[in-house]
Amino acid sequence: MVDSRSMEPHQNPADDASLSADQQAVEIPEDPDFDQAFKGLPEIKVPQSFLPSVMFQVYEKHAREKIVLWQVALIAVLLLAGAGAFLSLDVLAHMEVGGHLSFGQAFSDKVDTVLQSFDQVIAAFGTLVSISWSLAKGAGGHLVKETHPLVLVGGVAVLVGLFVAVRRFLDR
Amino acid sequence: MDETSLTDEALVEQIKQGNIELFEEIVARYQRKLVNYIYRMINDYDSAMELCQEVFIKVFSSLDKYNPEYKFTTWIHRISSNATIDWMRKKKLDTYSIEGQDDDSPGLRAQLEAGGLSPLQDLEMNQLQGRIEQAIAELPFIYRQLIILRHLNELSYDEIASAVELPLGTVKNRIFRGREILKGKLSEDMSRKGGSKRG
Repeated sequence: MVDSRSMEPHQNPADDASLSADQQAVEIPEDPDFDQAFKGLPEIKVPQSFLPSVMFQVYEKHAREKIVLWQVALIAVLLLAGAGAFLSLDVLAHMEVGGHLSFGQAFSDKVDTVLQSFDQVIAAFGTLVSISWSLAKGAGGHLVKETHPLVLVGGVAVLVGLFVAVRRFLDR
Repeated sequence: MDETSLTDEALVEQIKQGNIELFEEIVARYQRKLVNYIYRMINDYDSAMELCQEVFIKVFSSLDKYNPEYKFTTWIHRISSNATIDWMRKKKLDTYSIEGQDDDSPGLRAQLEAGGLSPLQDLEMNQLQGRIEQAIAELPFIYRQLIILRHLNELSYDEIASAVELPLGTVKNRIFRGREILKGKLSEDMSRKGGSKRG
């Protein structure tokens, strides 16, 4: 079975008093009126998307559980082979365009080109971060110098309050 | 194969053998009961849907541990009950308060099925049902859980005892007490409303 925790949060002390009697087979009368009142209660409708959504998760879980090591290895090898083929074709195309004499030379040139473009992306990103930081620092410094300390404290308090409120809202 | 004619236990056996598409039939059979049970325990429609999905996934993952000596309906209700308790503990909802909610709770009202009643009957029925819903929600957890399992999910006393892992006597006793509390709440409510109308 699944688990056997006790499922009695908020145990009522008054209920404990009845536990000695509980051990006997208590016969309680059925109450048709009570049953009838419950039957009239509205039913919570289940959206039509519920079942497909559950089954999607079930199939996904099943697939993940059933996959075995050799299948993972096979997929990895196939992906590697695919990547290798793609790279070779790319280098061959680069060889034709650049007029390289050997595959090795074309490969080396291609790697240099890729690394250079990678460096450019990193440098561009670094510049963007540096500009943003300078702007934030400048604006912050100006604000601190020009603003009365009490207003600053108030501002910080408002920010903290907002942070707490958002967290509470998200935790609901 | 007509899966609708198979018992729960037979379906589980088939699913264990690899026919996982048959789990759809299990979900179809129990989604209404579990959603209604969970919703009435936590009174939050979206969370009830989410939690119910988790329950079904947990049921699927635990099928290997299912012992066919026990009834499947009890087993699935036990998982559902445990998941609900875990959720309530996580949200620190040991006891449930309905303060600030009225009979016209939109989350619930939006889900009501239209009945073939006259407008006046409809109004009276809605008011009565609203009062019953409220009285159920105000019940302490230990009674509410058992009352819902018995009167809404229509489990037998034995099935409930097995699902919540309590002695049969305790279950019967608590259901009896739960009913008395509910009746008390409803009559109190009726007399209060009657008094306020006269006043």
